Amino acid sequence: MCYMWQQIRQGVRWNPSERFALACRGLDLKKVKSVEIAFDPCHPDTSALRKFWEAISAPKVKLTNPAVRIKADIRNDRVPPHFVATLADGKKLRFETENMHPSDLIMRFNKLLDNPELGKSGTRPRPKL
Amino acid sequence: MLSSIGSALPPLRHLARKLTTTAAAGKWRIVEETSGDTTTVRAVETPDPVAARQPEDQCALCTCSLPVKLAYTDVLILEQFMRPDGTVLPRQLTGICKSQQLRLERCVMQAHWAGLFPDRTIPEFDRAGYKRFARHWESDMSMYFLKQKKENGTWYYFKRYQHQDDGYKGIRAKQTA
Repeated sequence: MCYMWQQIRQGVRWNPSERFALACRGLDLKKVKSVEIAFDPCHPDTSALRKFWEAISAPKVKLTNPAVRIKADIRNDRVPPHFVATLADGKKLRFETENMHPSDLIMRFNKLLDNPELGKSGTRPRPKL
Repeated sequence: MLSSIGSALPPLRHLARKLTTTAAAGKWRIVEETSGDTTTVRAVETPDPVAARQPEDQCALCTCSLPVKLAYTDVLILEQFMRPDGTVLPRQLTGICKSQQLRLERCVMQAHWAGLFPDRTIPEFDRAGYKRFARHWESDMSMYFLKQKKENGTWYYFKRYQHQDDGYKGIRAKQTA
């Protein structure tokens, strides 16, 4: 119809699972050397960290940097869930993921790695038959 | 080993199940702190000044005691539900009911066409040809009932006035005569 109407409808869209999927699409681990995840499985709020772990272990994300070492440490000392990402230039990013939403977590992670927060939406370009 | 675990335990109240209360639930904001080469990111609780919404509350546009419905000319009201780039905020953030949200979107679109938001448009806004003129709308649904105005008449030109040279036949008439 007209471009402004499309933009209005896009601004109105509020779908947390869609936003999480787009944030996962924007994951690029080129600058990351290793990720050490630590949580207590009986802690009430570990869902964000678990989803982040699942997103990082996806095949497409692993293809961006096959040399990343993901180490998960499952503890029983009621420690709040956190992970430490060591970058290639020696810097460290420590995320205390309690009370965070998974899509917010991944968007902030992308932003700190200087990547766009959300990935591209839509299907990938395929050759026409 | 058990004694060392007991001394390092956080208080048990953090493990208690969170009960829903009618008090204003806090919102969590993500905060970064950098010290040396380590950046720590955590979620910090900020108190919400607005109280939680009761189920019997009406939405912000329904409770307005205005006798008229929202129109595209109510720019001051429309601005409060818009982003700086001209798009509308989602219903889950503003708490409006569905019919009011649709009406708001229609009125915002009509106001864009009427040129009432010169600061809030995108550069790709189509202003070619006849669309560069501002439009007037009867109601918020009139954008779906656009009509083409029919001009009655012909596309042929009829000479209305006689000119003194109209009877002149030209060079050919001189030769034949």
